[in-house]
Amino acid sequence: MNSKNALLIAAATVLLQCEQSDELTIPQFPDGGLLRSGQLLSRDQLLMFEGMYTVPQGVPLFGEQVAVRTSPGTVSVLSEKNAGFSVLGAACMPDRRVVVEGYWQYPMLLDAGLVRLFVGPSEFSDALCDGETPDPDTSFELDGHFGSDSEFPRQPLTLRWSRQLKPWRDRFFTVAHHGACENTDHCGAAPNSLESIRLAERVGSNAAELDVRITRDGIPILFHDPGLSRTLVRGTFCNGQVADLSLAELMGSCELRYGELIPTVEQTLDMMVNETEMEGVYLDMKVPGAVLPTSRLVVKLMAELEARNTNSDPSDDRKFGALVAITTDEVLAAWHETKAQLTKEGLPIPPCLAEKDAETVIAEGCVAWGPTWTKGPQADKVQLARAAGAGTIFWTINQSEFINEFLTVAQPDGIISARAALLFYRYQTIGTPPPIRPMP
Amino acid sequence: MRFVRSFQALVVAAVCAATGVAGAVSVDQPESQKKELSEAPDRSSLEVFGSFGPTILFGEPANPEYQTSFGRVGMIGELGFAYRSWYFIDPFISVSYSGLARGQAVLPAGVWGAGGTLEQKLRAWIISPGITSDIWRFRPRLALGVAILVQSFEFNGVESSSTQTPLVTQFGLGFNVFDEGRTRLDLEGRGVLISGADVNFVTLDVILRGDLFYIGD
Repeated sequence: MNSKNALLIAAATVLLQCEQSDELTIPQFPDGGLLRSGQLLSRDQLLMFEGMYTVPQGVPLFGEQVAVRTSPGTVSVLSEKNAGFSVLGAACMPDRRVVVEGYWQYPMLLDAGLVRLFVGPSEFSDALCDGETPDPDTSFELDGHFGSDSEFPRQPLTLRWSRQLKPWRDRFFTVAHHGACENTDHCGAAPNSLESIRLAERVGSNAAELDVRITRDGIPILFHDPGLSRTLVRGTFCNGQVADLSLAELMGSCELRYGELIPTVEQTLDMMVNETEMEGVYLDMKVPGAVLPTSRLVVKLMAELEARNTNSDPSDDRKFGALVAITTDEVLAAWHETKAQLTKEGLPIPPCLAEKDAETVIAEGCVAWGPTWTKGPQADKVQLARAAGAGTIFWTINQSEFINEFLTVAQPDGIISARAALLFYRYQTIGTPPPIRPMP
Repeated sequence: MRFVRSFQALVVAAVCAATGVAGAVSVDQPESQKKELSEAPDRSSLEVFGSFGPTILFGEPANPEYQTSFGRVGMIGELGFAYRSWYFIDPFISVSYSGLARGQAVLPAGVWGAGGTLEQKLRAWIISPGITSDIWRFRPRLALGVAILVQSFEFNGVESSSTQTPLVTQFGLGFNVFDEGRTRLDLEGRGVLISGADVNFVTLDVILRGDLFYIGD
């Protein structure tokens, strides 16, 4: 073989090294599992599962301690180990056992499996099956098995309730970084999709940071990159720049990584308020042109929420904060124009978050500061913002050691993270609940 | 992606096969015949070449519930120059233009406004330097370049387009069917991978090559 042939083969071999990573299928019990034959527990009953649990059996899965929180229809087990979580449903079976089953996952890895647990001792399951909501104590436990992939769960797992959770609703924001997981994770939902926001709540978030861009016809949508990058979208005719395409062109030609449609901001706000218990959204303005139309949607939402919260039906009340995030000097200039325009129209100014510094937050009258974690905890600035009535939400911290440092040194009002399970768990173990502040 | 990997494997196999043939020739054939078959020219030249052929695009349009038609067969034309060296490999640069796909999606009224038919067209310019070589009658080539993808739409009477400039990798394997003095004619199978945009297609080209002038002795 002469040198030119060797070179050609070498070049072809190098190009063959490019491979796409494998994808994970979230495991499910066949035929819907035991939940299908049971009576699902009510939202109020699920709340009794919340707490910190020790792990007498099954330490290799989630470690020696886990946090459990709930959302509509879901019991979530949140852990530090590999930022692992378990998303479970709960139902009373015909034999009066209460089953809690679903799947577990390490989002950064290709590891997942099934989980099937039963409530014990029997007085708790009897009470739940009678429609009561008993208070948990240290005898309350979830006992059963977990497995790998779609194999039937056979490895023992026991979670024993040890204490109540530290206050987190209305207090500490575990903010999902554009949804439940990073783009490189394997959660089965694409970043900035409605599905990923729903999943974010189930894996430990109570707010979401979402990226806002604008279509050619002026409609704010959720999308991170300026271009229709193949890491985010698919479709033969899905090419070019987001700002060059109308919403109809995007909808007719593009889908997100797992087949989801690109959502508009209006659809997103509606879904978050009406289908989740999330408490807020951090709307990251990626382009100045998105500020005015997004602000109009937030103003409209504020009016709707005010109407709900002041009517005679308390069951209709809903606390939810939407923040317009000022991310750059260009966006700040657009924010000034937006404020002038809304004032001219007699509309209120929506709540804002400034990322630049605490002084800008105070000068602009924003309700929150969104500093990058790379500048350190800046505890003095966090206190400065807090004294001015503004909260602080750091972005974006995924590593355990940095989460620990920021929780203990800065004691912020929230952290943006793609590892919600880890962040929620660490807040519950070492965090200090921030002072109560009224939602914007 | 499975196609892409299979295609890459095919190209490598073809290159290896060609190499094997050339290797066999170099071992078994007398010196005069070896020179004829392993087609290194006696002197360098600047070669101009042009190709034309059909393309078949891989991948699928998004949102099949809206898509009513999709055509994946297109055409490509290419013009390029190569330094046809008497020694080792031949560098070249080429520019090609292709109409790759067209489709129609029927959108109902929705958050985007009134419904209607969305006409979709995908075209690409490719500017691509690379290397090629004559190995017996085979002519493999490898090129890395840039594409300018042009995505055009028409919806309810409004036309628009947007561009994207991802990187391109091209693998080709030509077979010489005519060689007369300064002029050559090849048939070539080529794979074009525009991975940043996930636009991948194959072509079957007819390539006409000719020496513009000779360089050196």
